[in-house]
Amino acid sequence: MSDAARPLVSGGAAPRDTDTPEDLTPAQRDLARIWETPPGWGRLAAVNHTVLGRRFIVAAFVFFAIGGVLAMLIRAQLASPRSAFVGPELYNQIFTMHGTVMMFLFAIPMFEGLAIYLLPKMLGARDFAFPRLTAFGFWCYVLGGTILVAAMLLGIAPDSGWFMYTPLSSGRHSPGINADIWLLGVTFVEISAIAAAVEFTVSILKFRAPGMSLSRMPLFGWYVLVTAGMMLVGFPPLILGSVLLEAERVLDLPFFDPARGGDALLWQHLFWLFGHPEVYIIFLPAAGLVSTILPVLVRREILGYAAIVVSITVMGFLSFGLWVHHMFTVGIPHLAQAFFSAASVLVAIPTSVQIFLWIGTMMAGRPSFSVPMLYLVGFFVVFVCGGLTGVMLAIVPFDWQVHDTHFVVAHMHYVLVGGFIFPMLAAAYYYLPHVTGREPLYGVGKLAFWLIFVGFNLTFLIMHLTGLLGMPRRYASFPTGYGWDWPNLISSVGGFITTAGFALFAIDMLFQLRFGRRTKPDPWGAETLEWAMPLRPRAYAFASLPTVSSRTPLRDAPGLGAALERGEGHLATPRNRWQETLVVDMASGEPEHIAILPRPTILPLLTALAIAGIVLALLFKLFWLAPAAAAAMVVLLLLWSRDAGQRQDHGLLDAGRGLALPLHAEVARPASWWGVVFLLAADATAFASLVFGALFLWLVAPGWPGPEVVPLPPAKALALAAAVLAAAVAGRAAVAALRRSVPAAALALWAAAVAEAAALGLALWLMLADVPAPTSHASLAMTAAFLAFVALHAGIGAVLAALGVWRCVAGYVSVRRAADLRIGVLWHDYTAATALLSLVFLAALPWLVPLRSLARP
Amino acid sequence: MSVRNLIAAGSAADLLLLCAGLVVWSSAFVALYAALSLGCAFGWDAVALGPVSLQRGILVGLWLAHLALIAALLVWLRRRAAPTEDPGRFLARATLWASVVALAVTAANYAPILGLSACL
Repeated sequence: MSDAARPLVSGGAAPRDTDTPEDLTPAQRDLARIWETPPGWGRLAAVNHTVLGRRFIVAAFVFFAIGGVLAMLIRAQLASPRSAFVGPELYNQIFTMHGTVMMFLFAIPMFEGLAIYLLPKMLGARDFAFPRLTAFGFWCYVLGGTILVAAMLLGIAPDSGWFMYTPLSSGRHSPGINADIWLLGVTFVEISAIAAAVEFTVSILKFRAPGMSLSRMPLFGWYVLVTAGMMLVGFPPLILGSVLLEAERVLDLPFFDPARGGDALLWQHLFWLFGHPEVYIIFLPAAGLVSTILPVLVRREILGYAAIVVSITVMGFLSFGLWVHHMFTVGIPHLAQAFFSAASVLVAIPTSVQIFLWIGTMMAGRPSFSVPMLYLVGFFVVFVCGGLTGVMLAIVPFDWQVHDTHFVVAHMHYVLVGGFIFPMLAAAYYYLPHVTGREPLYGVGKLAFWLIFVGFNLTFLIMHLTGLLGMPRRYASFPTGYGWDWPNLISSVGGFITTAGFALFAIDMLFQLRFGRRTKPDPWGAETLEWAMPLRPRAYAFASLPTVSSRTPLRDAPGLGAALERGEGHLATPRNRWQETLVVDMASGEPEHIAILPRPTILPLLTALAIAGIVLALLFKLFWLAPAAAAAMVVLLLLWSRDAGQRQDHGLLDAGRGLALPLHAEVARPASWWGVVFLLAADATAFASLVFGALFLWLVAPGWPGPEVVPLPPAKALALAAAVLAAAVAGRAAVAALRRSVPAAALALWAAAVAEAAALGLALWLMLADVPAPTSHASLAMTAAFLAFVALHAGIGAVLAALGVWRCVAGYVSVRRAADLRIGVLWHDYTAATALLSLVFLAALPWLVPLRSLARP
Repeated sequence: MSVRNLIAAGSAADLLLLCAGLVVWSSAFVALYAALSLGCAFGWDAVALGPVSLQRGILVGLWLAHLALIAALLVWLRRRAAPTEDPGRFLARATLWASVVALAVTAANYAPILGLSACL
């Protein structure tokens, strides 16, 4: 890679505000018609990544504003001792919702929105792999967030802290629906996060420009790839924990009740298994933006591309070895604490590698103090301070001293505001011309920066002292005489200054949108593909798809944007009203096939509404309504498949520039196959968390051994094992039978559907008839949970197999178009594997439980 | 120029290898935390195994086994034919360095096994 200072280049087409048909070539007019989002109510059917990315960003900013107002209420309350501004009940709701909104409804969705908007353009694709999934994720997020905020307006918001520790959040101590709103609402939003993680992983690995090998991929792609992988592994433990806690609250299954063999610490483990990686899930995409923006602003290619890739991969793993550092005070053996303490310190090294490489890049370049650069400097100062206090907190004796004090609050805000918000503000000014087609005017942005920077440090620097002076977190008021009065007042003044800065930023953005000058193409002289298009971007992003031969395609071909607009790339000529983009080999970027993406549809919204129906039915204890809403959800999900796939073989099709490729329906492993692989990886994490939970309770929880564990009836258990195995065999037989005929494959799929249905029935029968009184002890509740897991997967397997039969009959399946069947094989194999593991575990439980009596009390 | 000529060969397996050493680190974490918890619950620290306790013997054994696994991975990575063109060359170098880091992290992260009391 050349170390030469980089030239200014211009990669895009001519500036414009809105297109008129005369501005476009005939091919572009066709593309615009094919890719457009319908106007009016049709906007609800949007599946386009540019539209949905913008919506995610706007929605996340609205939630950020709500979280900000809550922060001001907290600071107003704590501005003086013995404050009577709000009472403890309301204060509990305010600080719980502040944390919940900022973590779940602002930070994650904001990064998702930016990634959804930017990534396809950076990678040289017209859209993501699963546009309807993007839309579904958006609606789940907005509806889940709306439920949480509506609860707050009604005065019944969650009030047990954003980490919802049991037993405070259990039914006995939080009898209202406040905690249910958190558990169901946040789980609803987490569906959106899992959807995004699958979307990102498959799209980054497969939906890139030809020639964009992994070694040529923009660093932001690497950052989001690692982040998405972390989300697939990090979010399922919390989803499982939330389901178990909701089951405890609604069904009285005592997973977390120490009086009946449960353990409150199990919740903490499951929560922080998610919660600590969450910090890195928030930080890494923001760091990806730093790695993207900073080299452009300092006119120097980034130093150490490979070192950064290795560093973020290492961070992705190490961040899962830190979770117990939130639990140093709960009584874990010193040696175990040392493991987590060491990992917490070690993770600072790959973080520092990136920081030094960024500093080195700045030193080697020619920095100019534009507004985005100002925010990046703010990021360096604030985040490094947060990182240093993080290392302090990783040291066990220090953590014991400041645990649950305002020192931790200050540290957390330095990390999250420094590591996420400052880079996001830099990105907001940097990408403003891209999103709006308008250039920023700098004066207001600089003033906003100084207000935010000074206000933030005023608020949180002194809060370290407040914490060191012993002031605990989450107290609605504090007495005078401990030296806490002045630090709190200063923090409150700083908080309001920060808010003024954010308000100014919001006003600035609105004014730029309305009054900013029209931008020229690629105003920053960047060299990545997102700038190789007219601004604002059109729905199809690229009129034709580029071929990439380095990490800096716009340096290689300064006129690339205009050439692509002229149709000199791949897939320049639209056909059959198809939304086409290219799919490539994961590592090499060699083109593999053409993907036809789905058109706008209302189905994602309707499906999300059906899930909202389930959530609301459970919240208001309308248990008769929940199955109806679940049935509606299943029917709607089945309707998604109508527009997926092809009813005839097309063979090789022209992809432009002499390339001929098959359609996605005619390859062995299309994007949907990979999507199911990654979804099952997330599911396997949930299953592993369930196994961990059961073993944790067996080994650690009080009240074990409980009542005698009755083994499952061998005949029924063996029948269940035989059923899931038969389904797996039938699924594979369907693929083999397809070589003979489609009806033979359909017949095998019928057998799979019947076997899965039998497995569903047997698992439910075992759970209802052979697990005596699961509310009496956690061992029995866990047995029921394993059987419910098997029943759920067998049920989905039955529906999938039946859907496969319909698709065979309807003409979607042929010898060349066999992906449906291969996806079925994945599901049936996975269901069989987890069911057999569950049955082995449950068979071992009657022998395992008495062993507990040998353990030390 | 055809696209095929512009790009070098590569495979998704290289991407999985990038994570291999760190997966072993994760396996060590789970195995050591589980063995420590089991040992403390069932009193393995009170059972002598030569000069050390059964608890410490098992922990050191697990630790060394994982270190050996990463070392073997490193030897294999060094010996295999290194691709001369990207992306294979890039991924091979990144994999080697990620595995070196995994070895160092596995050595440092669990070194307290050698000194700290296990179940206090």
